[in-house]
Amino acid sequence: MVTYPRYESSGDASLIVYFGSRVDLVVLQQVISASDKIKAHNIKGVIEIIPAYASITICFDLCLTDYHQLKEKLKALCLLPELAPLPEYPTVNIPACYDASLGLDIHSVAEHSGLSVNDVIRLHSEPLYHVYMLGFMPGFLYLGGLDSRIAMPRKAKPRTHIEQGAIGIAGQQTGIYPFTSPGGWQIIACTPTLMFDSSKPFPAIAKPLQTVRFIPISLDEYQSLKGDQAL
Amino acid sequence: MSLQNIVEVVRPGLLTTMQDAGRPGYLHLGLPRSGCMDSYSQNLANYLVGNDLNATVLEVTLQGPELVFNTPVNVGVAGAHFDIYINDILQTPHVTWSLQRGDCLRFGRLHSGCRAYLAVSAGFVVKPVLQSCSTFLLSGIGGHQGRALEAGDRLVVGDSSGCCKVKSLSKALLIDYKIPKAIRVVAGPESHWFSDKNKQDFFSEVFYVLPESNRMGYRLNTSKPLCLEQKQSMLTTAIVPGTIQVPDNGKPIVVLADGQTSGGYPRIASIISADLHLLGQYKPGDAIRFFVVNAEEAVTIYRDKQRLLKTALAYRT
Repeated sequence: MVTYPRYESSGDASLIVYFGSRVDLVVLQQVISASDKIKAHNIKGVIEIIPAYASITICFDLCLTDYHQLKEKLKALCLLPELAPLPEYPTVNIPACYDASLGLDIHSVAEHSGLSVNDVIRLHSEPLYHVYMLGFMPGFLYLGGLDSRIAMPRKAKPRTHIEQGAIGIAGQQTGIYPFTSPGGWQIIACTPTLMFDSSKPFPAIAKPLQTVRFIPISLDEYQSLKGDQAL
Repeated sequence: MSLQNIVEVVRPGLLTTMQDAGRPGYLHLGLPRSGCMDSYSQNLANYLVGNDLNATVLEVTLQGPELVFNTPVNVGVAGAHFDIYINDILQTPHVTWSLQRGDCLRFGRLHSGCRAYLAVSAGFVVKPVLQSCSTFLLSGIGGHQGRALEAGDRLVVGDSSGCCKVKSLSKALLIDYKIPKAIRVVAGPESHWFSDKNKQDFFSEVFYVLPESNRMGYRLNTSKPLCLEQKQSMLTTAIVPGTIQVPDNGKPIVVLADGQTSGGYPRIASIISADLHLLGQYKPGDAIRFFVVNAEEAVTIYRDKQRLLKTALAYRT
């Protein structure tokens, strides 16, 4: 039986606190609540606090602190019963154009799931998705809540070029490519919204625990929103 | 415009980017730290021209640029050993070079290492993005227009009237990249998922840097792929530079400056902070060996190294 929180070193200049081992909103609440607490304490030597699904990685300056010192300070901040539930953040609406000229694989997903394209769009845009973490690429949101009826494995042969803003499905996950890159996800839509804007003090569009929703838009709306952005 | 001090890029080299000490503090948003792959050599280059040791420099990769200076400026280069020509005259390395208006500095043959760092007195003038001037190519941010240098680029440098004195680097500070050193690591969080035999292999085998290695990470080849005793699934966690992950094919990946910020592969080991800069001088085809130390040793090694560097590179006023 593993007890949480569990502390482990990861490299000589970072430490991980585990709060569990599965994808679970209750665990995520604990992770985010503890992250906020650690941040608020401005602990000497702490450089980064990186929450994930069920863990927090804390990077530190080796000249100012070390694993053991930091662990002692963190113990008081990561006590499970004292981690209060967090206030709800407003839902972020993400416009999504499911036109097949952008959602290159929407027909394959429909075929794979035995549904019509309209059903795929409905099942993808109806739910509220929870942001579990950010990572992989700047502004990439790990979302939970995909309807299993439209789940589909990655493409056997990844594309060498996926457009910025492409929305895809990979297994039980859905996500948005913040930047043009290679990738193997089944692309069903594209958003004109920038996922990462480095000119803003908070460059991403959502935080962990926040909910997002996809709002279907037409190709015309997509192009007009995309055009506004270029101005 | 004519009043600005400009360095003109005649030839850009293979991959020349502006880098500084990086952009820590944004890994939780998926943004890697970037910064110099070999921060130690960055410090040496900046020392030669009297700059803050973490000031913005040009990171030159495998094949260097040709630059024309329209302003008198001091230049320092450290890191990979290239032949450097000023107006076609081969220069003595590891000293400050005083360039006159119109002088041309050209990188020639690479003898050892992979990345060189070029610093100019008074520094490059660039607008920081999220508190750093480091270029991150994937998002197109930082440095010179968020990209690698191209022919015809005009880089603005500060006003260096009242330039620093000519300096040189003591031999003790220089690293001979021709002599392979074992890279020191500490065991990773999932190292116990690997068999003793596997771990033994990891610390005794030679790994080779694969061609698809870059600022994001180094992919390593081995004749004895590492495999888990039993396949275990792992929840995605944060990944920091220096982490050595083992994907399903058993060939380790070292995550570096521009690397992915999260991952779900078992972490067999992590390169110690004191040795991370050495990786930046490995190029495709080079052999790497790992040597394990414990966490306490890693801390001592890092602190000693920082202290030595600080003393050696202290500016005498």
